[in-house]
Amino acid sequence: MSPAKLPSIRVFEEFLFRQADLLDSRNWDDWIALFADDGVYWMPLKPEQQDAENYPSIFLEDKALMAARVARLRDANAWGQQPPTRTVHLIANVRLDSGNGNGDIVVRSNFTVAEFRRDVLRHHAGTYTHHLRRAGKSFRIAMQRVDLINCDGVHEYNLQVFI
Amino acid sequence: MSMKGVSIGSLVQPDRVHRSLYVDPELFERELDQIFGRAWLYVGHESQVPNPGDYITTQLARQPVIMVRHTDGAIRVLHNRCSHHGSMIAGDRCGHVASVFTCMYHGWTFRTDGSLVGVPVPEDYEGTGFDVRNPRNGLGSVARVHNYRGFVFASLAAEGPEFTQFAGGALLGFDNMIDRAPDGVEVAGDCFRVIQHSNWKIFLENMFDNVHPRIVHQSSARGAKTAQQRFPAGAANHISLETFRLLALDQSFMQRLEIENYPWGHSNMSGFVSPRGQDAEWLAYEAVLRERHGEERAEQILSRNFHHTMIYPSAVLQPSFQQLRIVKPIAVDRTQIDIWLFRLKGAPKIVFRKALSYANGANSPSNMVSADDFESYYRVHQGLAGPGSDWVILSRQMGRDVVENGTVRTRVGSSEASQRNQFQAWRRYMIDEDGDAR
Repeated sequence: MSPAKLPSIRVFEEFLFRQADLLDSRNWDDWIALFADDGVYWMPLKPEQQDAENYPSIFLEDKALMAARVARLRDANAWGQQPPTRTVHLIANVRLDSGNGNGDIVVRSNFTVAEFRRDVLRHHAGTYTHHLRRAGKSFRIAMQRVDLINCDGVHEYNLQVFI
Repeated sequence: MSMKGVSIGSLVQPDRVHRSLYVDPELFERELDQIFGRAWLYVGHESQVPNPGDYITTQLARQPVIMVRHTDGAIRVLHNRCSHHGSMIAGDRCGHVASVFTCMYHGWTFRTDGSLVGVPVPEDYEGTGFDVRNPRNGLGSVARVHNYRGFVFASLAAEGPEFTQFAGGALLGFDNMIDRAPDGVEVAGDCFRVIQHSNWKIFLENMFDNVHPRIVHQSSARGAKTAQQRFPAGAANHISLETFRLLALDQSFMQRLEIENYPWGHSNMSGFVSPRGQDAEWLAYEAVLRERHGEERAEQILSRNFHHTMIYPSAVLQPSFQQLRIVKPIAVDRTQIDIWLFRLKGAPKIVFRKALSYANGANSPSNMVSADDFESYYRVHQGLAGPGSDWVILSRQMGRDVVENGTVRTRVGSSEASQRNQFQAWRRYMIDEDGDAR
């Protein structure tokens, strides 16, 4: 698809805001539904990491693993969610990147996420890279890459929810 | 609580331990000296420093160290501290020096065996009693280093048992992992580093606690089941999900596990999930192993399934899935765990795919299982901080374990033999032959 035929940046912003809102409202089923059937949520361990097959990642989840995580988060006896995690996402600096060669549209953005659980407020920041595949009038996520600026730092708490 | 007037030895009894072991900052400082300051601690793997001049940095108890390959090919473990004013010589987690380490503060230089090369303005020291031309006035070295089949351990104490004597039966687990590799093992990328807001001993005890899984991890097990039902094809790729599902089976499943416990606090526990498969790629791996080791020996290696192998107090290995967790006590209520993944060189890709699924799913900072483990560690630590009740009960299967030549073997998986054994080692480290605090 040539850039001239791409929808306005506003359309992509709304898509990203919606996925963030679904996470913040713990509406994970609808969030997972944004992904293509072979879609992947990837949080690399290293900045600039290209290879998820030969090196470890913080998250590398297809729909099966996402479903397992969500089922646990909702489980009445998920002790680590008592009290539950709350999040607020802010997404900005949305820009179109060159495609990934598969015909997907690549959208990059910056995020900050405030995460609160049991008296502790944490702050995450980083970059999203969304590989979006056209599906009717909207898109489905082929890949959501989440680069935390502290990905290879020491992690103070377990990351229970999707960032 | 002050240790004055209280015998440290009395805090550990055969069937229970005092809560102060977990929450007393003074005892924690003593542990750094008496346990972490004397035990053989894991430093790193030789594949992290393949060439002379390659180094990594880490910390052993309170001591920052550099593990470096010297020009003679041997691995040295040096104090990461300039012999002049004390500045750390290496400020990054890994790197390479072409010939010498140069201190960023005043430019003192050192060879990779620690020896002093030079200082700026050497005449400043003439007649002062400090000889800047003596190479021995360089970086200090840790007292003892042992490279066990590529795994480098160090002891900060000059005295004490030799490494192989110290590690004893726990080497079975390390041997098993190494023997699974057709061409040796290597570190796969960087480690995960996570903080637990709890005392380091709570983590090590939990490694050999086979009653908690179906209570603590019931949500992960149900989550895994949901995923396997909704996405059977995708879920089949993730051995992590199968592991989670098994965590919450009936207790009789966990009772089948066997734990062997050795002097100095070490343990081996048998596994409940095996990487072995019947697919062509996996069978090709087994064929390679048979070629290397012969039929009988290969089968021995593949059928010996350890879930956890612990070299107390610093290393917990998962031999069948090639993961190594390193304990770094930061404070009485703060513990860093470094989690390394290894690659079996010469093995077909499927072997690493399973190890990687296990690492990403069950050991990464986002893993579902430790979300609930960390919560239990935190709650245990907070509960024990209260002075109202003193004792932690460790008497499951007490008196029913089998003792043979210093090895304690459990009859059923739920025995707290490992925990009792860890605290007996703790006691041995912390008090002398007369029962006095060291």
